[in-house]
Amino acid sequence: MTNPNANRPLQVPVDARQPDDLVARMQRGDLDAFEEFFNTFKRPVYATALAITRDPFLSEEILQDCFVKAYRVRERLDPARSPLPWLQRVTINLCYSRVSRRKSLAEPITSLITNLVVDLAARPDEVVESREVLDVLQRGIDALPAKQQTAIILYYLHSYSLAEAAEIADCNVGTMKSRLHYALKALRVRLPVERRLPVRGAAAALRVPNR
Amino acid sequence: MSCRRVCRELLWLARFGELGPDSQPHLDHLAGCRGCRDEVGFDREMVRQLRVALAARVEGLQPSPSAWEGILRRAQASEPSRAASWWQRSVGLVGRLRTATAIASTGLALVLALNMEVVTISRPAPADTSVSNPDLSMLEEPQPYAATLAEADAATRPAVVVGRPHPEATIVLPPPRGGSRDDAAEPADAAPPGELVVLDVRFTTERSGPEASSDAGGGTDEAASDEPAAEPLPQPSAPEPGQPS
Repeated sequence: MTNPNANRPLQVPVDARQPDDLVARMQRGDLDAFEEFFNTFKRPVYATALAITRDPFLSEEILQDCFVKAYRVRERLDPARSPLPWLQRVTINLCYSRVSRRKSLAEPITSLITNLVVDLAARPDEVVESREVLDVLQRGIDALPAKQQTAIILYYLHSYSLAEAAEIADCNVGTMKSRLHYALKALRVRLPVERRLPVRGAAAALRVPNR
Repeated sequence: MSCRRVCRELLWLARFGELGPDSQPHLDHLAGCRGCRDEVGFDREMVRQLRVALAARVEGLQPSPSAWEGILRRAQASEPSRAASWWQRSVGLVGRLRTATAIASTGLALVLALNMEVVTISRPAPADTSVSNPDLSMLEEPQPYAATLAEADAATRPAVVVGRPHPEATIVLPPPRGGSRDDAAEPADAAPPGELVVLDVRFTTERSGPEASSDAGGGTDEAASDEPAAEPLPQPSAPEPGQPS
């Protein structure tokens, strides 16, 4: 069985490991430990908030809320386990509670980023096509149901394994697969028909690992 | 296996990195089917673009340096002492108990209110022949209640109209005051004065005119206390000819 996370070029570096005794020290009221805790986990939490809300200011509010909550309930954190799944779950819940209140996403920032990520060395027609596809995908991600959106972000952005994503989303692996499948199906429908071109070498790209 | 099914399974296997030696038939099919190759290739390309789109959402953005200060300030400001925390928890518990009590009281009141309408279904008591039977002659000619009221004038309007009592309905008679009751109406084993007598009432309709009791004519409280609690009579329709009463 191949590891789908092996060759992912766009991973957000996530340190899911917990430094030794970090939560235990935090539980004893050590503020330095809390700062280390924050620095260890701030990036994945912020990335999740940003990927869902697409608003840097709102994401920072959510980041603060998440870590303040973590500090308040630090007594209940399990020192033997990584707090990252818990942090991600809290972040996702905070995001959707805020987004449902706002109902408006930061479209201009998204457009700006989309323009930045397009490969400007490519031909102008390719650049236009890439921008079009990215725009369609961004809108498609926004239009996904919250659970499917969460699945897409956890699996394809954070490159968590299916089991880790399922743990964060509080579901089983089969459910996570199903959510990903339906999310991709919904995104596929949104893409323009002319973009569904045959891709050469698809069969060659699928390699069967040897036992 | 149909091409569509193979394609669907291939997409599933490729998306989750579950291609293995068992997937060789799928790959053989893929090698010879251009449509499936296009589908799988498009799916892989779409996933690649999806990763680009997701990375674009977070690329180059970091939480501001002041984020930690804000968190620290809020965490310390909102850090309640143990006593305050205990007190807060207690207040919350009391509040929840108060709410629970209110909900329980409302529910109980509702049950009691509804209980007034609830009829206990049980086997009726055996007929007690020692109790004076009411006059059933009126049942031979059923008269609609509404029609009876319409025909009755003020002088002949029944003082008390007793509806059909419940099979278990009982009448509790107070002890006689002053004079004695009608001996003919009393059972042979009537209780001595001062004790309650429970009568089993099994008639359906009874009218008592002003001639029956002058005290009851005015509908006084004393008379009402002697009568069983009457259920509201339904408005009967005129009986069909030949319909049994």
